[in-house]
Amino acid sequence: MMNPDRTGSLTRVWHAALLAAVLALMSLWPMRQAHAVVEIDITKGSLKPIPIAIPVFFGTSLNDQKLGSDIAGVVVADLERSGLFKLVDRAAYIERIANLSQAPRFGDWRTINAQALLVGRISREPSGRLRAEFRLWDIFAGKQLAGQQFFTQSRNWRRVGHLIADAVYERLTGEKGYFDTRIVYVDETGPKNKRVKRLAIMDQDGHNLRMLTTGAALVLTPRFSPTSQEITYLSYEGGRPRVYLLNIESGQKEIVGDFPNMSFAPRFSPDGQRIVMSLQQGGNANIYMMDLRSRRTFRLTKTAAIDTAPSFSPDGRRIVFESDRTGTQQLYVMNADGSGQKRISLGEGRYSTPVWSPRGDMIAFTKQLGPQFLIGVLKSDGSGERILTEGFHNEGPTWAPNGRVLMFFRESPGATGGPRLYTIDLTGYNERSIATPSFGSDPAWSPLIN
Amino acid sequence: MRRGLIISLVLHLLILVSAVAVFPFSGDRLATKPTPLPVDLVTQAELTKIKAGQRKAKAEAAKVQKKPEPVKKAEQKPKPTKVKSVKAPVPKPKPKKIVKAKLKPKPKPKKVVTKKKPKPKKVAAKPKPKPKPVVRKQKDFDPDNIAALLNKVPDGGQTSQAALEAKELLEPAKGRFNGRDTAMTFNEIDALRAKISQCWNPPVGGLGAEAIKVKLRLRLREDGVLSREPEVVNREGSPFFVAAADAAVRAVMLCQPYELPARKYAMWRDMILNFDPKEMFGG
Repeated sequence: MMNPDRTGSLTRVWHAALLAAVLALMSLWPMRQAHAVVEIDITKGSLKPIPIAIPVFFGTSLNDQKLGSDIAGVVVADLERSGLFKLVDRAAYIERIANLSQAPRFGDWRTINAQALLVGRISREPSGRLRAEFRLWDIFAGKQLAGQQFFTQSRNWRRVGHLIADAVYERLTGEKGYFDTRIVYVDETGPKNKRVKRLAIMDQDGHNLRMLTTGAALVLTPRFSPTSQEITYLSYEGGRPRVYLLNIESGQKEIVGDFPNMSFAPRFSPDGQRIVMSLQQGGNANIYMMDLRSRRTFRLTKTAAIDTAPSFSPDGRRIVFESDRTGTQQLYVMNADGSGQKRISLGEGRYSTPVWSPRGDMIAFTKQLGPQFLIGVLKSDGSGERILTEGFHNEGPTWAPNGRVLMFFRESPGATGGPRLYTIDLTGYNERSIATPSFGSDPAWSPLIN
Repeated sequence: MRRGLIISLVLHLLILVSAVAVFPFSGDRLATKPTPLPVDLVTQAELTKIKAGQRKAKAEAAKVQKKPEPVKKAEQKPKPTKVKSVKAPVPKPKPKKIVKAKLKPKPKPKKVVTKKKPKPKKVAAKPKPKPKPVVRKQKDFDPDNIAALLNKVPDGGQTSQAALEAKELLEPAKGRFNGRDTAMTFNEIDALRAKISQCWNPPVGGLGAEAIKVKLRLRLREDGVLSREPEVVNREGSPFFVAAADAAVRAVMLCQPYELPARKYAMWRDMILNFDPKEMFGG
């Protein structure tokens, strides 16, 4: 038999334990609430150019000050032309920067709504070489984002500007820049029915233009090597069309191959070791690949149609090309050995001049729809087609090395009309014309100059 | 003994029942999940009222509550000093308004007592604040408009905590920063979201830009200013992520101070913001 006293005390202990448990739970509840952190998703932003302040780069001598102003001008022009940056009016600057190793007064720059600040200094090495340094500051975070210095000959000052612009672009957008690049294109002069076409090369902003050929022979479809400063193009030198290879530094030129029939649209593989092109046989054209070392040629397509304009994917595994095998020009993708050919363009109209983006996600093309020629992009599986620009005659897209911007040419109608070069952002905004002294067509964008 | 045992059992049962009633979802609450968003259930009628109330409040503010406003504005002006800040703008109008407000109170009550009319001028309307409501309320008691009447009571000068709370209870609290709820409402969160969206300029256009998410932890002072630099919670090494994280940090720094309900400071003193640009790509 149980002792009543003992039972009572057991009951009390039991109660106490239960109460303690309940109290513990109760005390836990508000604590959890107090420590809960509110979590909010921000899924929309505004797409505005980043306001950046770029004072003229300072220097000790008058010459250096002039150069500092010029170099800063190149940087400003590059960044503004990208559409992603907006220069804060220099007249509004409060602080005058004269010391690169000292942090700026962030408050002064916040006041004028600058989000980034680029400051630079130009000086001379004892050898007379130019020394250009810069610092990029995040005004709101109050920290330095980038800083670099370049040494070069004074005559390369424009390139210094492009390099600094690339560094700023890369740090603030996360993408590689594309300002330190060149464009090769076909310069066109003379009346419409008797044009003189020469191969020309210039910086991506239109400066430092020079001619690579004399204009004695018709030149077409220049293309840059992705790995070196070499171009391949088609020339009618000697009266027949042949594919040439030209080193733009040395001026050395060689014939890639002497084919019995017409050859078209040569383009390099990503490793620069092979060339794909189309060769005409009778009324048909098929795609061939040539190994530049062995000069051996492999046939990739075999159709009773015109297959042309091949372009490698950046990994070198696939090739996009155009073909009229179904009756109208359409885009096809195949493996680099010619297998697995598959049509990818499924929209209305005729598709031509496909070019695979250097970053691999998109293929740019020219599309003829009714009386108009449009420039568009689609994914390699044919989905996500977007038209970036349209008009009377747009053609021949070429990608900037970062895969963000396209250049193309637009022909204006009429007897006095002619082709001009334009760039457009992958988003379809920020269309800009590139100033050239005469008409220009068929541009090809170089890789970044190393 | 048996009786004791029965009592004991009944008591246990009571405790258990009460425990179940008090902590129905204790398991969920203790789990370390993100804080659930508070949902305000509002009927159609209530919604209409809330909207009406807000509009009214605006109108009132224009007519009656002008006194505190000018002072506030005078204090805020210096901050956004933009490019033209050199000119040192607008200090004059403000004091003027305040002076007017102080001078006019007396004539006004008279006017109001005679007639409850729309104010003649906007400028003249501002000073009306306190005297008018008090007189009117006491005079024409409108049983159909009890809430409005009660609203005026604290305006009459008694600013005891109880009176303030009573006022807040009656005012359309939903969506207002000084609502009584301890959790942030959708409206408050949306307002914050909208504000930060304005300041956020994410780097888009890069390959895989839509997949880059930045998780930022903010610690705020009671005045809505960051108490320390925002902390990037999810670190990645790619240049693209670094640029995206910088853009997010820039956005929250640019957007401060945050006007959030002071009563709910415990809720927003420590916040996590997930910057996810997917929606901007149509995702």
